[in-house]
Amino acid sequence: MATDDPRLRPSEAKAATALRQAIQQLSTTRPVQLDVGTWVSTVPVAAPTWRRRTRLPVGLGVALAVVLAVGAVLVAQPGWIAAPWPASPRTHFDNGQFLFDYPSRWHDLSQGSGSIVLGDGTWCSGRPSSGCTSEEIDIANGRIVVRIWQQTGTAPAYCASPVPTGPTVQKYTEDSLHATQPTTRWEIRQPGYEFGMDGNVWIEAVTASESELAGAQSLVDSFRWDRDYCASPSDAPALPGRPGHYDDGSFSFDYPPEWSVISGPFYEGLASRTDAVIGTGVWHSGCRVVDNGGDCTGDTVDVSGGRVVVKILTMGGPAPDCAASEQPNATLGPNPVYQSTDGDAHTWEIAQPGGGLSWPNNVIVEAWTGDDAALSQAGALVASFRWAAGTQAWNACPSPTPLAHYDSDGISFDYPSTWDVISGYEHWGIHGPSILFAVGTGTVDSGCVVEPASGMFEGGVSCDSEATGRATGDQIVVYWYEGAHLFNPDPLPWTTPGPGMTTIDGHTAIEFGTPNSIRWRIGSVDYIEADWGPDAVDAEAQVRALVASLQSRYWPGSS
Amino acid sequence: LERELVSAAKRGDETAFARLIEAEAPRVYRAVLAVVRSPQDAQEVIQDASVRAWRQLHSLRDEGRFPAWYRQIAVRVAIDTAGRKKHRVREIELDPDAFDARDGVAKPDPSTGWDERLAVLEALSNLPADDRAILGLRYGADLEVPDVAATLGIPLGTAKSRLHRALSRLAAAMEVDDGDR
Repeated sequence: MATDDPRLRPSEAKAATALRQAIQQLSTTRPVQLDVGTWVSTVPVAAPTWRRRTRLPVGLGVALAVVLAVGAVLVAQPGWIAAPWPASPRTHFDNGQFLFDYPSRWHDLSQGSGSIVLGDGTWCSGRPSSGCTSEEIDIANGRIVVRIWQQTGTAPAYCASPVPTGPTVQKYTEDSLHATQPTTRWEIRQPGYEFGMDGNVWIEAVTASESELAGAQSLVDSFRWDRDYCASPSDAPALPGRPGHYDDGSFSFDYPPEWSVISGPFYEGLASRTDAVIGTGVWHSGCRVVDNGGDCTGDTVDVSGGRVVVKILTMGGPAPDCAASEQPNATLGPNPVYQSTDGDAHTWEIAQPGGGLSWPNNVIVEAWTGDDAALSQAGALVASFRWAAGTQAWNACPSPTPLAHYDSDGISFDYPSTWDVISGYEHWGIHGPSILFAVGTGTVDSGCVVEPASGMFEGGVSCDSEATGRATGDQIVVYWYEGAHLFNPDPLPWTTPGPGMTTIDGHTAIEFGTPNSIRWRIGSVDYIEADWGPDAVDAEAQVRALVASLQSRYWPGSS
Repeated sequence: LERELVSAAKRGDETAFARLIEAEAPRVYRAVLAVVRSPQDAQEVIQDASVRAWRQLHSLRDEGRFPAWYRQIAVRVAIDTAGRKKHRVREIELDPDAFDARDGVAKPDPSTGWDERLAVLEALSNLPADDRAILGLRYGADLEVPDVAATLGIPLGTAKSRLHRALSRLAAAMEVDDGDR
């Protein structure tokens, strides 16, 4: 057990040991399978060379980035596209979603990988047991490898309105692909979808042969979708819960059941997750995967004619800055919220219980509408919002504790008002320690006892050389004591700053830390010490705050 | 060397990035296991976190912080995954037969603490994901408490107190008391 663990009760120590052993066993029995090369092989990182090479129109660049980003996801998700290859390769493929024809001289190269891979070259997935450590493609002697996958997990799909017209295929050549082998890619959008959306199919041909490339082009030309998802309202994304009532287990809310589900959950970059987009208007995500991971430019909505779009998202981001949290400025239903309005865009932030505004995992409800009735419906949604039972904020900042002020015998400082003053100045002479102050919820023992005369002993005061603080459970104690001079006249290297050196009230101190205590040596026999029990919450921060506020007219060594 | 690998990875060097992940992932995997309690889900979390790290690597300004940064991504993905799957009926693989030989891995020997292991996993399911995360980082990944604090972006004192509370809850969920040695 590391020395900086909290002091553990036997039951806690046993739980910790059992947990460590369980995880160790589990990770040994089922070790992590690393296949990093395959995961990231086609996901772009923000390399300067990439940017210089990209001379594409914005839309094309975005779509290109999407396909690159999607590659890794698909490769890493076996079974995403079933590859119902017949025993004897034929020229026709149909998996129930789409169909195409391909040259019969090509073979099934998929190796059960879940991807559709065909051609007359060789392809090795790089997966464990595949025979190679990273993906390998061999197209020597005019051969070809064609990979086909369906985009998922990058740009949410929606049925665009108005229905997109024009080309259904976009082609990207090796000049724009940052590829090490001659590569051509095509994106084939679903009916009603735009380029770059999840659900579109990508076809990649790696070959140096013009004739083989023509074969790939013929495959693309023959490609057909089996169905038009946008023509089937039942294919709208489903939300957890039931129509009119969202409930994903983390939170719930009510919404007008006549509203449409425009989009289900998706990530917007690393930080935030959109949980749902609902309403009666038209909404297009402002976020797309681009070459450096994510780019959000603001959503596009059409709420003309009294329509409304409501987006519910969960915040991510860094740990909160406890000192800078704003306060709710409205209450909807039982929910304190921070609401703001910018034109037709209305926003409510709902903090997790125990948390503050702008904290990770808070929920943001955004509503776009110019219609008062629709705005009321959005407000009612916010009022109906409920966190799941037991929800607590992820990074709970300590609640500000009211402070009391100590000022006695030339020493002053602030301390939590829930603490007691245990002792003021207490002097036992040069044979024993002196306590200058002691505050907290525990006790401090000077170690001195008055002993009666006994036998040859005349009686008197018997002392230890140091005072001792005692704090158990959630107790805490902070005290300044001066050790018995005769026992410990130890000069200190006060003029030499070094590890552990700090200052208190402008004077040099040496800090010593143990798991549940801090001790500052401030003179040859003077110490400020804090001790706390294993259940004390934020004890170290409270102690440091006290010491930071400490001022003293007396200081060891000062005149 | 780590900084050099991060720099190389930022320039698009997949091999350098793979070395970074290979060095860190096994430890992070153990932390994630405590959060999601399923090797399959933990595998997916590691994969997801690695792809996210690769995509977002440009945003890592202090290249010496890669391990903590990667751990932070993985833990957040794990917590999110756990939250989304917490209503699964079959949250953890309680049946020893679930650990079969599909991947060429031998079934664990029930005589070597199997029951206790299940008890721990069952007890974990009663804890909030945040508790599981801090326990996983400390006792799964074997991180020192300051590293746990750095990973979670919280003060050291807060990490200690939260770790202690989580451990107390785990002990209570395991129904072990101080006399139960």
